[in-house]
Amino acid sequence: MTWGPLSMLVALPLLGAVAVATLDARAERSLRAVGVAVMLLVFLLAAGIWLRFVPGTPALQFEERAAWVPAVGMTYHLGVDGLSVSLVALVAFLFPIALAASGEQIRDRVKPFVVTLLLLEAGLLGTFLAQDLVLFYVFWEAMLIPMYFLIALWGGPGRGPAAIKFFLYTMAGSVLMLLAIIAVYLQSGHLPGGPTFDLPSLLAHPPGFAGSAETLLFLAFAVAFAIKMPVWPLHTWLPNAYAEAPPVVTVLLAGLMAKAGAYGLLRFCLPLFPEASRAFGPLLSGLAVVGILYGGAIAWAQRDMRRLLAYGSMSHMGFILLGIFALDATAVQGSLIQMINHGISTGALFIVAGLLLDRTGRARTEEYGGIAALVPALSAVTLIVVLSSLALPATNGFIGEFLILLGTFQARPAAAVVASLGVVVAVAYLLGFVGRVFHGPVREDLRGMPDLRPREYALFVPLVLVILWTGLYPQPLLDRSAATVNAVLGRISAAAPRRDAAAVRPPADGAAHRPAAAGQTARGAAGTGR
Amino acid sequence: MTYAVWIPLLPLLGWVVNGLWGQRWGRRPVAFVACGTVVAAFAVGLALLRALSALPPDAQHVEVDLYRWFAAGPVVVPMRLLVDPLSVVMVLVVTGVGALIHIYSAGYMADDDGFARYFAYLNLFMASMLTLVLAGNLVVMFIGWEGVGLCSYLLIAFWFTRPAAAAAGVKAFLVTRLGDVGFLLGIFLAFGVFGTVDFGVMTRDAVTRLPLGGAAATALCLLLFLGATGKSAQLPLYIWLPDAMEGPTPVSALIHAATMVTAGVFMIVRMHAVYLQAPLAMDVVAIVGAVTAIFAAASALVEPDLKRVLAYSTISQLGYMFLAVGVGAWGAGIFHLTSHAFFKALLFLAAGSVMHALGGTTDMRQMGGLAKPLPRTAATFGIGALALAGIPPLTGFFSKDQILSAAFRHGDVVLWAVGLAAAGLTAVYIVRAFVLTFLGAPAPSAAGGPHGAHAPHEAPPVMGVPIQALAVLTVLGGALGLSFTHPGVLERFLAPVVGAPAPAPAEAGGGGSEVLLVAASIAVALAGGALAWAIYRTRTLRGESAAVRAVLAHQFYVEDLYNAVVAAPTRGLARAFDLFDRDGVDGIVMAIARGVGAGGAWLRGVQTGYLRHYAALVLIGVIIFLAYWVSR
Repeated sequence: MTWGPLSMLVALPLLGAVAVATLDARAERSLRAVGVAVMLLVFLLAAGIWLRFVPGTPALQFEERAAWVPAVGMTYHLGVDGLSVSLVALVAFLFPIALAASGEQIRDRVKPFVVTLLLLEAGLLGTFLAQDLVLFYVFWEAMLIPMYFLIALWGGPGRGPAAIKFFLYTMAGSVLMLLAIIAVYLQSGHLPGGPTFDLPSLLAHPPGFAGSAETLLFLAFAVAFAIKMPVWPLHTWLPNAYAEAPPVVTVLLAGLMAKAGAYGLLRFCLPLFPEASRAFGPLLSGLAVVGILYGGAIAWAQRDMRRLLAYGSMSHMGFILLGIFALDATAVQGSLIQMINHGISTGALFIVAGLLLDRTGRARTEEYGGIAALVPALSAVTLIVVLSSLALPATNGFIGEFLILLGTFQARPAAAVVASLGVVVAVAYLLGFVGRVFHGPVREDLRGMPDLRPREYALFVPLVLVILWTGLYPQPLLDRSAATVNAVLGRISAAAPRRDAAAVRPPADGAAHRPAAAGQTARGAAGTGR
Repeated sequence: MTYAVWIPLLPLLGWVVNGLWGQRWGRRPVAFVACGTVVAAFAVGLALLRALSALPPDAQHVEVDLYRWFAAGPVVVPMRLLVDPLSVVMVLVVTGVGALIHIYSAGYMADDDGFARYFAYLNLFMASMLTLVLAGNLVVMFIGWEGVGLCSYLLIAFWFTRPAAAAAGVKAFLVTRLGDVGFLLGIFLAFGVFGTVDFGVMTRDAVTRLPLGGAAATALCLLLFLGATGKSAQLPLYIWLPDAMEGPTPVSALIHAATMVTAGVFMIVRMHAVYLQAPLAMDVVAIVGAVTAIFAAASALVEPDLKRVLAYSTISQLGYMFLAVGVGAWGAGIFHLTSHAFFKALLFLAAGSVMHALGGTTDMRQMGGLAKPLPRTAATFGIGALALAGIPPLTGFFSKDQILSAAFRHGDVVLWAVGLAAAGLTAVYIVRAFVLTFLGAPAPSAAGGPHGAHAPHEAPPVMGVPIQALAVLTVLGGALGLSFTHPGVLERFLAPVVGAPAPAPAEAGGGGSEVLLVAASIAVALAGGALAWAIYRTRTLRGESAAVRAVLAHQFYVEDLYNAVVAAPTRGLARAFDLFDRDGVDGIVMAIARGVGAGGAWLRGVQTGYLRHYAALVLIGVIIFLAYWVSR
């Protein structure tokens, strides 16, 4: 087999973990330094893959395939396409930032921490790269276990119950998914190559699931992914896990692992079970809308900083779910870019929460006040991150939520109208957070609080640059995902009976789009592919 | 005309420079960068005006494509600017008044610790506002639209350690964003109808794509108008603007009077072709405008705070502008927007000079007799007040009168009468404000002033000159529309955008009634002014009847209504969700977990450790299995 860049992407953090494990546990600085260096190396590799990725085709790129357990049709199969290439880059981008931000939070057992983090990175990268169902499942579990330890060993006072709840919840989903994976395998006997776990092989031919079987399998996958995102009402592990994990771990939990759930829906549920996806689209859109408003309202009522951000994160994940199940090209594109944005913005918000906690040890918002006068640089950075999170135009969040709502509005207008109230709720809880923590009379007992240190600037500069770059020039991201999104949605409209195909995108609507799009292209908008 | 991009870009650069390095510099370079970029943008605007005027009228629509912003599915949104007479007028008003207010601010904020932050925000505001007016499609306009909202929040909450200021900032952002949801949905609907939100395409295709009076046109226009009511502080979303006076006074002048709050009016004129397809929506716009005009004017009647009087006045005057565009008098709307920018900025800056002299007081009960120590401020404020009251030959007279006569000619006699009554109230409240502030005996605190011993004094020239410049514009600005029988200069200039001006009244056979209309509005203004003079000459508030004051001082209890109907229930709902999440959703999950736990504990009883028990269980299992298999 060939030792391609994707295998290296997974192997590098594993090798790094081994290397760190051999180091002296007392040399904490060098442990962190080696960890960050390995992660930066992974990032360089991922950035290279992202840059060399060729947009415009739904095909897998950088594909690697080797026999694994041929007897039962398992393959070692990695590849990236429009769904995953930017997410892989996001994973590689956030890990070094999170580790570099952990200095104040993780003071004991630094060595196992760095090792666990590297194992988690390998698991996450593998999850986004795997093209074989069993391989995917292995990576999926491989990221669950390190995360359990990160919460259980380094978390806050309530870490024990929080970690167990997180673990059992996700395990329940995983078991369902494993059963469904086996069932998919057993039902794939009619394929030319015999039964297989290989996703592209499964998709190469029309799926032969009976209607009820498709529904059950869809639900089994969807529940596993919905727990991870999380989707209302499967979210109750989230507030505890997000609030008890060390903030830098929450960065990864909210910024990356939640995306694995949304990614799973796009990678497996939509293409494998197109009819069920269509049938359950309205229900899931409804749950998404509930999650947006419900999460936002609860975030508004929170006084614990991290619980506020946790529910806010859940509310924003609702937009991503809404976009996916609008089953509209614009909306799904919006969801994909919003997955990146949410990773950046929510990750950055939890880094801010971590810095505040490190400096003061105060978890509740009303224990702060007026600190914008004490830490102007930190508050400026926070403001930018908050604005991106509440989707201000010219920041990344706007592009995502705008495309999601725009696409959803054409497909499911009622859902879009109600969901759009979420952008008001976001202002309420996020500016409420800023107002209570950064504005108001200065708390005298916080005087002397240090502003951003040079090392901390280094954390935020890349985050802010990505926020502005994505807000002002998101096209490279959108171009990379366009062809794959169209291919996935093509499967769904192909599976639809004729009259329902019309419902996915009404012909009148499609016709209305055309002349304008042509008109715009004529004015120099090259490369739309239409 | 690609260089038009420099108009928003220059202040944006000022923001970057002052934002990153301003804190380390002295005040002079900061002020120089901030004012310089805006003055330079004004100069570019003048160049644009020249270049545009040189083109034939039907070519005065120049689209500047910068790059393709984003495209997904069938949606393509270019980063596009639109240079036409409308955007050039707006650029000149925004940068012209903006430059004067920037210069004034250099004096007004001279002693503030947040000097660099202030100018960074102010420049960011200019960049956003100029993006808004130069936008070539609704999405680019939305960048500016939300950007000015952000800067409004930042500048209202500029003195963020004051709880009232911080809260007012959040309120402004929240309420305007509620309107912005309407704007956003309007954008989505426009995409559905036109397949694009490009202004040029929408203007061209409105008639073919939107059936006259159809549901799509009406919904689209009303959704966009919802956004306008938020940003331009109209009923029912005006409630944030009076609180916005917590910000520094030059900010109130620039953002909450002259420029940002007019965005809604500008947007409707920009979308006028679409609005023409929705007569019902236009009626709504006109009615909301007229009702807001009189409602806010009445609210200003008993307000003791000078800045809040001006805030209600702004809401009221914006109502006039919406009345204008609601009856299709696009040119008159923009004319009043322009003239209001002059005289209201003048009034605010003069009020700022009063505050400067008194050390920050805005309560008129602590003023009085200030004409003596502040003669120039009193004179300039007086000019602004007369313009606001609609006294000829000041600019406010011409522009307001055009609106009223347009409403009358449109056949909306009721709206005209409401507007006329509001004009009377306007004269009352502004003369009241002038008398309470500048005439009569000095209030005890005004004599000494919080500066200690020394008496109130005129502001330095850096503040005085911009005020005087605005006073000159207020006196001469009427020339932009100076004409009773022919369309004025401004309206002729705007013709390529909004079509030929309405036929002159003389041609329409209404010359006589036009004179009567003008006479009526002058008479009402004079009567209102005289009334206020008579009541407040002695600087007592005794003339205000207690009952009227009880209603007016609470602005008709709208605020309380909002609290009771919107704010409190929402807060309660959020709390209820919070509890429900802990005990409801999670309670079910935990109950399942406990059930599994109990089941496990029960099953543990099976694990006795005796081999014979296990053997027995295996045997029972085999028997059941066999029984099942045999009986199939």
